[in-house]
Amino acid sequence: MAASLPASSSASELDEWVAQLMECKHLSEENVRKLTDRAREVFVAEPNVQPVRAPVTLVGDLHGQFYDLLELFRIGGKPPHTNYLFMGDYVDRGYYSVETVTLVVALKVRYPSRVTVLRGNHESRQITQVYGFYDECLRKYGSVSVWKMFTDLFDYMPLSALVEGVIFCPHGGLSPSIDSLDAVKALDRVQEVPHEGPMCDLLWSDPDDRHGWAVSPRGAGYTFGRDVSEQFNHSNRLRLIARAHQLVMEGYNWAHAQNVVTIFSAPNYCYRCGNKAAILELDDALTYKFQQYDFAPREGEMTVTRRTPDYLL
Amino acid sequence: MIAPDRRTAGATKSAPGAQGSAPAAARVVTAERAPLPAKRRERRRSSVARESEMTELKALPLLKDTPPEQREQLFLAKLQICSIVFNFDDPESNLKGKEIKRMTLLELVDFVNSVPEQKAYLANEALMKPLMDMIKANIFRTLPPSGDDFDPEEDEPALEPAWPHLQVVYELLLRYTVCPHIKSKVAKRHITQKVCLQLVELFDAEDPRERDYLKTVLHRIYGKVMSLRSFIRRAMANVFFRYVYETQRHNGVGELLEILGSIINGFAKPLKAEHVVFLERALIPLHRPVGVTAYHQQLSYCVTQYVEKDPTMVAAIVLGMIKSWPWANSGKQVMFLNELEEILELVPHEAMDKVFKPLFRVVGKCLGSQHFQVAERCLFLWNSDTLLASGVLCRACAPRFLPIIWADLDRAATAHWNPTVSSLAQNVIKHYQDTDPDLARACAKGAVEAEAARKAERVERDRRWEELEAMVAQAAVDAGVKDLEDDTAAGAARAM
Amino acid sequence: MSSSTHAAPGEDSELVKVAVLIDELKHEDVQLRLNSMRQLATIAGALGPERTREELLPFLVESVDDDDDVLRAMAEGLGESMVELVGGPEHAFALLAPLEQLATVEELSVRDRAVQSMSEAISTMPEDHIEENALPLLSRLAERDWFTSRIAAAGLVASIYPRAPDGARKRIVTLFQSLCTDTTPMVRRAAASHLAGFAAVLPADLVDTVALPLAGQLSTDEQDSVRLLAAESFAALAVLLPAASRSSSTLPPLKRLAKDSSWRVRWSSASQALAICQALRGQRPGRPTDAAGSAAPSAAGPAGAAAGSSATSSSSSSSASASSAAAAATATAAAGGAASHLPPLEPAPDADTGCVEVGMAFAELLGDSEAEVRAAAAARVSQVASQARDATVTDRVLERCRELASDSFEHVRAALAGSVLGMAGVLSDERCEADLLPIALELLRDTASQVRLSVIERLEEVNAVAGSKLLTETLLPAIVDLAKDAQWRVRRALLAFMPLLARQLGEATFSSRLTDICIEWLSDDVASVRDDAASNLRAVTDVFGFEWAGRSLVPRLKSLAADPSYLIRVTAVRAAARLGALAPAAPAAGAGASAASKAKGAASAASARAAFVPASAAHAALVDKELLPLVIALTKDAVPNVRFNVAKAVALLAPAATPEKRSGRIRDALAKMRDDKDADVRHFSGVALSELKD
Repeated sequence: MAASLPASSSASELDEWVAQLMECKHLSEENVRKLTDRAREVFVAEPNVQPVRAPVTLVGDLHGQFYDLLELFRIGGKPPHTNYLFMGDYVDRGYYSVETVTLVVALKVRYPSRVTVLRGNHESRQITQVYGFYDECLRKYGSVSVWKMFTDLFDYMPLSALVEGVIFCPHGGLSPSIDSLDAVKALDRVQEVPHEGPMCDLLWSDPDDRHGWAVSPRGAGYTFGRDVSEQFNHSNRLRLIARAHQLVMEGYNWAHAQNVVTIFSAPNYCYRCGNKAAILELDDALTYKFQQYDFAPREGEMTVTRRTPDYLL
Repeated sequence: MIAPDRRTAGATKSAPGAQGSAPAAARVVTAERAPLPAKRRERRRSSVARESEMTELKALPLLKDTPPEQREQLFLAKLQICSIVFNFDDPESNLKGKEIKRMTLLELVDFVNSVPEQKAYLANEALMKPLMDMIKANIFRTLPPSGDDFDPEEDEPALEPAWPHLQVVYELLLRYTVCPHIKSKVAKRHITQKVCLQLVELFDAEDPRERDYLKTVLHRIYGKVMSLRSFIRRAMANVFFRYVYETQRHNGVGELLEILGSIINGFAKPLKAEHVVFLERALIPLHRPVGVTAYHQQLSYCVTQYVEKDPTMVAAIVLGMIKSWPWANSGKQVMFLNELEEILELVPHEAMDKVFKPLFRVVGKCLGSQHFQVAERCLFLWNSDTLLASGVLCRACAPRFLPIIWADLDRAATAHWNPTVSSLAQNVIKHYQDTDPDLARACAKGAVEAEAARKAERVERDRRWEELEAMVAQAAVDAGVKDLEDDTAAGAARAM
Repeated sequence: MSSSTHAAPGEDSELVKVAVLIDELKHEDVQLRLNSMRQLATIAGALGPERTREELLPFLVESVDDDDDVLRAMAEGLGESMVELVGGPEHAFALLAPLEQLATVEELSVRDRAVQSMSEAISTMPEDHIEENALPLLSRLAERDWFTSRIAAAGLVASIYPRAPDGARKRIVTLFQSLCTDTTPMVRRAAASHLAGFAAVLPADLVDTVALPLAGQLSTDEQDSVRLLAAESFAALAVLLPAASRSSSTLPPLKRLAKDSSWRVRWSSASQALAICQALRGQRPGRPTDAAGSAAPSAAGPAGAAAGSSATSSSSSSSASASSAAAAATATAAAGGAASHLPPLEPAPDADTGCVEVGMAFAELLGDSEAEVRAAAAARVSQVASQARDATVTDRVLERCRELASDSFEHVRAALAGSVLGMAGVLSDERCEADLLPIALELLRDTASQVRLSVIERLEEVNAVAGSKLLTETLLPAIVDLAKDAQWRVRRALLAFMPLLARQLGEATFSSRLTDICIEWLSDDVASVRDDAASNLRAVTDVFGFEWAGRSLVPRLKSLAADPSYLIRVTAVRAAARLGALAPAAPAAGAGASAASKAKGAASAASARAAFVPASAAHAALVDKELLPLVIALTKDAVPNVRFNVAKAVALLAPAATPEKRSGRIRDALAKMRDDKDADVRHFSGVALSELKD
């Protein structure tokens, strides 16, 4: 029997990790190394545009708000019972980037065909050093090695997904240097997110009310108008671009005459924005339903983290 | 459905454009750094308790319309009115009474302000106690709870609803403390240690307007009443101790430090031992809390004042900073490096002799940091002409510090993920290779040897621990055997 | 290499090794110093007692200018476990020198740990060493200039006093008294937080003549942070006092503190009211009995509001009282934490009047001007009322509760909602209906979901008192309304209440009013509501039987199994599985209200080979004829998630099915799925097959 279940021992190890992470307890450095090694093998085999089957639930930015990820699972169902497409930005800003990104990656490795994981603009060395993940790793592990393991892994994450051939899902948006999905597929993605160019744009751009392309106020990527989205969807036979990357107060937001939808899954972003979060449930027949949810009740999260002295290692 | 993310990012739009030569990296970081919208917070309650059942207030005639001989009596009556404390939780309650009190307060301020001789009212002994009682009744209160998640850096402070009254009361207190007619001897009778203590406690108020008044008032008192000075310093120190070692929460550390800044500025040279203790015990530890960002500028000013008075203070300060170096908070590390540079520029390198080694160990660790901003900021030390000319980075010191930091510098130059860091580090290395090639070569060689030694040491250490553990385990087994033998022997003895 | 370690090491080589390890304690790399410091016991073990005392400890005394982490590790390493390593209790005093240094550093956590280790060492020391070593140590700490050492002294008195010779005890008392009047507020706070622990080791007469006056004095301190700690000590002192003077000694100060000008102090006296009542009644506060047990969580509980937003006060008390874990432990033990070995407490003769006094003061706090104080009091209404056992107090408290039900602050209402229903225990049925239910109904309609949720979670308490008539007439309409509440946590909380309602209402009423709701919850938008709804079916079936389930539930489940959404189909499969699974036999399935969660437990326990209640005929028939076909039909579902849930469901249903079914259809279905094109389906059917075998 054991011979016919080659993956079962590693499955049970992963099940243990997932169970541990679900309690918001981070893995040991050694286990993170094992996990990221295995995740790299999974990601490296995936194309830049990862094909995804419906039914699936789309998830936007999480930003280290671990207790809200648990809430998300309470709302949308736990993997593997519900299929998930995570569209990036697991780390930074929140207090539990380590636990959040580790759980998402562990679920990916445990259920590679139920869970899809994309790269967001925060899955980068530079951004994580400014917005918290780097310091958090240092605090929780006493060294930067876990940060290194994860940021090295981020280089391998796919840049986008394609649901049933008709819904294109990048973290940010489109790029003036890309007019077809094939052009995305041709990118060499295994590197730190560059400061410009098509790969950068996919992770940084935003839809905008103005027509055409414009320089993004973010300092990276572009803004693109309805004409751009319509043209891209038309020429690639797409129905929709579903993306994350922007805070939207209701958790989701249609744009460009329903050619683009934004999904944001971190409620009360940064513990202060007062926004709702949402996920998008796509059914077997691609009928959709947005599920909104609020900041989850938590115990003592703030007090505990606020008090962590940063001079202790 | 405008995303605040973008709105704020838009606000900084011109900034990246303006500095066209800035690397894209820097632009990305600035744009994303745009402030977040302020958190929605529950309406804060007034810190002023509910008024007790009160009789209807009646407005009194104006002082200026009253014959001078009746004014004192009227002044007292007005103080009585102003001693009633109203409930501001309910903005609708007792509007008439609130207005009468506010007008009366304003009149009193105006009265003692307008004509010079009327200032003497403040110095009138018969009025002084009632006046102070009125002031105390209004401002001395327990501050209301502030939300546990209040983040002074990001959140809007909750404003004091009772401010329309409080402000004028504070104004009156301020007039009182600056009144030239009141001699310090007299003031002392009413401004007691207890009053000072309560003022110091109020610095935790969330409303910055209140703290601003407190700052001025306490500073005046400090200046006026000599005998209270050491008490006030001690009270401040107690606030700092509690903040640093117990609660890590206080709204007014910055304001207290502002007062201290000018107090320190007035210290006589040479510094008294008591003041040095204050630096070491109360000020330097203020570097430790996470919230240091909120008052770092003021703290840094105080500390620099000390160094300017007495350059030998620098050693204690630098050591203190090193001891609480925020290794897990990169933003704070950058801030510490800024402060460090500022202090080091004030003193000749000789002043650093005692702490030279630990200092450069920290510098080395920062150079070797994976964090691009920390490494970058540290490399910027080499842009300081002062440090290079006469400070710790001067040529004469190079043979002492370069060996300590070479390995990290070299790693930054050759292996850092961030290209800006590598090129800055390469520049520094090149500088030494050009100006002092022998030293650079020696350092490079030394670094290789040190690395090899470290590796060997690591192996040796692991081996030693293993041996030691085995030894202890063996000792435990031996002891166990012995116990067993003892037991058997005892058993045998009993059997016999 | 291992052989070389086993070879008896020569004296010299051993010496070298240990010297090198000591060297490592001053290695320039903090991490290495820290690692070595954590191995202090190993090093000491290798050195042997004599050299540990003569070389290692003096070295440590010199090493206290280090990182806080290293120092904390050192303080930990020098605790109880080190006593043996320095040569046993005879030599325990040697540990005091380095610990004394550590007890005076600035970092609180290091000091705390050092004081704890000192207490541990002192507790093992022989009497004469106490006088020779511990007492001078205490004096030095108490007299030193810098406040940290005086704080350490405050933390040590409770462990030194009981072991000190009679002649020295008076000096310790004097010393502690002077700490209570120290000029540094931090020291007075430390003294205030250790007062109860110290009192616990004092002879009874000194509790009265020393500890009480000190508490009184601290309770009028100019700093409210000191006063609030003093407030906490009165309840602890009360249990140490003779029954006759208990109320006369503690009630006046407590009543005064309840009117303190600082809300923090009033907040703390609101929390102490219950403890004082318990002390008067002869219960040791803090003992996990009925009332006290729920008092603790509610103190931190009321949506975290009371405790949370007053963090300044609570953190001050916790950090100060943490000043010596050992002394605190003594205090808790004495104050009743380990009440088991303490003699029973005689109730105060005037307990009734005393509790009434406390109750009335407490009722005032329910109307306090500060919301935090109202919340702290509101969270304890029923416990205090049940201690007071007095109509006047009950009336006053109820009146206040009516006001609080519409308090403008949500966390105050939430605190009330979590506690007010407990008043049912002290009210007659008529008053329950007339006075308490209106409050409950108002709170059930509250705009804040947290408030509604808190009431629902305590509905059982009313139910225990109120008859089923009251339930159907008054509460049921509100419950039916709440079934569609916009907040899913409210819906889920109601779900947990269903089995109890089923028992109370009977089949007819339940079927007409609630069965539809139970089914609708299965297609709720929120996954955890669907999941709990799936478990709930079985819990209700346990009340009404499997025939009822076959009639009322199965037809509805069948249509859900054909729902267009895979999430609903998965829910139908899981509901069917839990409905048909065997119930675990071991802990007799009591008629508890948590039947829903028990059924859930049964589902997961099925794989753990526990003992099960065998299926009744009706049960087996339902599984064979309805549930298995329903589930197996979905093995061909287009969505893999449905298919692997079928595999899991089949494994759960198999033990309840008849043997023929088990070896036939079930095995076939699983075997087919074993070759599915989806990896997860293959995995879960493999697991199910292997379970089938056992």
